[in-house]
Amino acid sequence: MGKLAIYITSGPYSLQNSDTVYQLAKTALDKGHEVIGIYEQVDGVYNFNKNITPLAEEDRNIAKQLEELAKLGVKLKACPVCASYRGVQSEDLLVEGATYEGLGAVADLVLECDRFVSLGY
Amino acid sequence: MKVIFLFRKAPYGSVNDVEGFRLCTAFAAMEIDTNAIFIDDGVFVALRGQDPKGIGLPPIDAAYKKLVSLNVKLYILEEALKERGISKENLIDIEYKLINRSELAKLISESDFTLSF
Repeated sequence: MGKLAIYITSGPYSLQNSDTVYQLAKTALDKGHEVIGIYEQVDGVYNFNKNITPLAEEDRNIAKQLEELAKLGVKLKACPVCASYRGVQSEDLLVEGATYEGLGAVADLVLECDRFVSLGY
Repeated sequence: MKVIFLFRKAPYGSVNDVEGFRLCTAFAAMEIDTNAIFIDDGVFVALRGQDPKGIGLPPIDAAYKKLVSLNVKLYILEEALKERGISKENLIDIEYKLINRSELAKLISESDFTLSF
């Protein structure tokens, strides 16, 4: 079984990327692979915002989906510099299990994983 | 471990180059074999005499000069320069290697990871 790491630079509800992150990670876990981490840079930092509130009841909550992954042992990390530039630097805004950590964390993921999936614009 | 950063977009119009540069720096600081390749509109990053003060941004070419001091190897795709009418005299004074598309393909195939910005 392999070790998967995912990296994303786009925000929620704009591209399919955030949904792909969740579905890919979930499917990999279901198939018995390890998802060692998800790192969010640039607008990706918004995906971990616990205040995300879709107004349509049937719509998926991207932050909650990622939180679900964290509960399954996936490490969620986001860039503190990007967060600061976007005014969401308070860790109180993050879903449970997510933290801010510098870009060296991306290098750590690359060094540890078997497959690295990068999603952006 | 050999990692390639592909820079494909012109600077200032999007944050891609700046964020790619930051990530590239982080990899190089961890002493990973880090390579930056400028292709497509990414070659505009290496243009000499950039002055984006008028739009309130710092010039990006100065930042890229820092990569050399971190032992990042820089490559510029020659065809991309030709397509855009850019001559070598137009490029910043920095240590780089000009490559063609088949050399680019070889570099990518020899790397462990390629990250595209």
